Amino acid sequence: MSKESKSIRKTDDSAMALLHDILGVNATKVADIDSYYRIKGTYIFLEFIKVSEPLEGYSPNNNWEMIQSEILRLWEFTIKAEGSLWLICFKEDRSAFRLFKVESATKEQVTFQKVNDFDFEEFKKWFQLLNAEVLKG
Amino acid sequence: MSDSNELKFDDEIKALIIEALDGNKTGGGDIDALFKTADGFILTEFLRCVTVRPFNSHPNRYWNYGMAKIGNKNKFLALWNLAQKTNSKLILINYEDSREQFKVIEVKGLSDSRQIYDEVSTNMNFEQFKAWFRDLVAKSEK
Repeated sequence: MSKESKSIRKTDDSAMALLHDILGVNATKVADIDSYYRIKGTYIFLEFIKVSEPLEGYSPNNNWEMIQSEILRLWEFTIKAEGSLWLICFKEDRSAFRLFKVESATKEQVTFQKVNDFDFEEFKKWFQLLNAEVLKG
Repeated sequence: MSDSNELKFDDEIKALIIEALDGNKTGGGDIDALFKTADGFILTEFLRCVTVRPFNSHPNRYWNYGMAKIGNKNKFLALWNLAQKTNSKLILINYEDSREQFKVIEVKGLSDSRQIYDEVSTNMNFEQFKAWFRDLVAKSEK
């Protein structure tokens, strides 16, 4: 990816609607990659997880059974890409963000190298810095 | 991924990313569907055709088309680079809202200067596409 990449546009996500037409409720079981970046040849994958419970003290292990299938797939792909995987847990109202850099993931649990707690402004700063690094090329 | 309606959630993620970037251009990409079969990973990207129907449309047609006249090529180059890095297959799918025509393009060769220069393409109707796609899902390892 380079600095010439286009701005993301708001869409009606017609691709997801198509998946739904083909697979019905099973469309949700198809893994995707929410966002990926390449900085100096190294890949960074971001998976966004909306959390309804308070983020203070939250861990993806709390609902691992529910999310493990997709995360394990992403983790396996991350290893293949020799990259890193971040789980971006957030509150719908943008009041809090908890970022986990994955260290390992198994059927039993996921472990982390790093956990960052951010408010929205801090998250924006982190995210924009990451994006700027990519655009630098 | 969330505890709510996934159909709406994908839009929510896009909205969040747009907000978090404060309108700046993104250097990132996304992948519509990621499969893992016995032969390895498959990256699939859906391409919605609006003005030219799927059978007649091709990503090369829009190589230099897009925001700021820079083109979609970066998206395809990024996907291709990621597929190469991970020894994955890259499949682009032309589709239309009417769900009548589908073109499945397995990319075999792609470069900045030559665009997509090697591919295996198959035209399908909706029933054929559904069968093909469901088979892919079924083959995908749990």
